[in-house]
Amino acid sequence: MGIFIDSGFFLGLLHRKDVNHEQCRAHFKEISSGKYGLIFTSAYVIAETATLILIRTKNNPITLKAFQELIYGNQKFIRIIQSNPDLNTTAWNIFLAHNQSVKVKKKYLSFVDATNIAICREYQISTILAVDGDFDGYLAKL
Amino acid sequence: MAVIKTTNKAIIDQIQAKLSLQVGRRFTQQEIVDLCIEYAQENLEELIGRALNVPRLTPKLADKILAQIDLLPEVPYDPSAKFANEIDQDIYSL
Repeated sequence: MGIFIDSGFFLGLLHRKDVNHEQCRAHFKEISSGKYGLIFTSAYVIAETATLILIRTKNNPITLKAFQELIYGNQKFIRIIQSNPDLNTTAWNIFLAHNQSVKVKKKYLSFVDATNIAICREYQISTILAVDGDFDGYLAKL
Repeated sequence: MAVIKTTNKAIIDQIQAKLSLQVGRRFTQQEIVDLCIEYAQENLEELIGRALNVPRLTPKLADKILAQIDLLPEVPYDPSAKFANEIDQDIYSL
């Protein structure tokens, strides 16, 4: 049980012009039912998302502040997993093993995504909420 | 074997009584602690969630957050925006 939220979902949820906005809203309602268990993300994902919002909104503070409020504000509901030496080792192993045989750039696994997989394995989180296909073969996507 | 103190022994007594009644045999408190640890290991995300002490997302809270998103002013959005330097561009283009 448990669901892990990746960067693209946060942006899709918070920005009405994002191509995935309606889908993200629907998923957000779905996970609020509790049927996927508790909701997690990582400090790496937060760092990645903040920068993604910065660049996509041309440094407009409104969406950035909305994201900050969602993560740390009075209505926070997301458990933030911090990395640790064991997780780092697992993430490195996933990162190196995956990319060893990959020849095409779009099939590369980023280190943050490798960390997401490592966290989900360590904490028995079975599902990821992401808008891209980076986790095929590793985690079930909602 | 480690000695562990608990601040609420009454709860262990209650679990001991209920478990013994339901299963039909008496469980020692050591057995109960072992079972609880085994259960925690199998439900680690729930345990971590409790330890982090963050409220759960509910349908009511989700509706409230979505309503707040709907009230946000228009913000520019450029899905093809690129970073000024190649390193950031490579990092965030994955």
